[in-house]
Amino acid sequence: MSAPVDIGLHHYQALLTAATVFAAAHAYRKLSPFFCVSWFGAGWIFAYLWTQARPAPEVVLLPPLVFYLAAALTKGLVETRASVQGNHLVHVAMTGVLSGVVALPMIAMAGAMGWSVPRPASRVLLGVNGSWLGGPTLDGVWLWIAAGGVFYGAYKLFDHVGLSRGWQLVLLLGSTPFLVMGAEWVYGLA
Amino acid sequence: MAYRTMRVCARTGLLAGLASCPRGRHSRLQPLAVVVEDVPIESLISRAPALLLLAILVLLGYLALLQLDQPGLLAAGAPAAVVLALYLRSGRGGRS
Repeated sequence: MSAPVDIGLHHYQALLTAATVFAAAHAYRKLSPFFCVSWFGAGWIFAYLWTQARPAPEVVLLPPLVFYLAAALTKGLVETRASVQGNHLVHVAMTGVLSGVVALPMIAMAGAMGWSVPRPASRVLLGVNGSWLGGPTLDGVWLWIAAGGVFYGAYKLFDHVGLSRGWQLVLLLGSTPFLVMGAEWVYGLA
Repeated sequence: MAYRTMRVCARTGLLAGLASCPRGRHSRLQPLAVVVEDVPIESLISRAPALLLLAILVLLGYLALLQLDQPGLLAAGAPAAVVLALYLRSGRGGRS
């Protein structure tokens, strides 16, 4: 069977851009304009600093989109269970795990097509090699779990310590270099 | 017009969610019926997380089966497909 359309890098970049706009519209309408701006603004800065690849559009767009999807899916999954509803630690841990789950098909596609990913990850963890995960290693999934957990954990912390929105934004944007260091530290734990 | 039940913090009146009120807990939240404009774009935006994850899986399937002829790539989408199924079955009908 042959593909009717050959999907290339520019299609991928366009799809990521459209997906980001759609996710931002969801954040704007379902949460707040402040949330939309602060999440994606801080996310892009985080991605720019976190990436070890040339900061191409796809590697800067991908992390905040993946983290956002993971956080939104977590909200849907966790908030219907009374036992963990409102538990911030469960939210953060689950968002981290789902960041890895959502990123897995993306980094598998990118790897197979030769597109850039923010960071390479090739260690063998727990004896799981790439063939179990369609190409990426478990290390790659752990990389995204660490980054998603740290980013969402920091966002949640600044949102819940009682700061004004202005201070939240200043702290969130100002802390992004440290969040990158935090994500690297958590990644190094495995 | 369609009615939807959302939860607000009893103290601050803010909506519970990702950017919830500072000390929102489920025990301090109360239901609030709000009117949601019954327009297609609103319905589409409400389903954005599920639709975006579905789009990722469709793109993976297209590349794996049609363009690259590497069915093994589909394994990378299996955990996300399980999460999508759980999300759709979580009682919100794919809305958030």
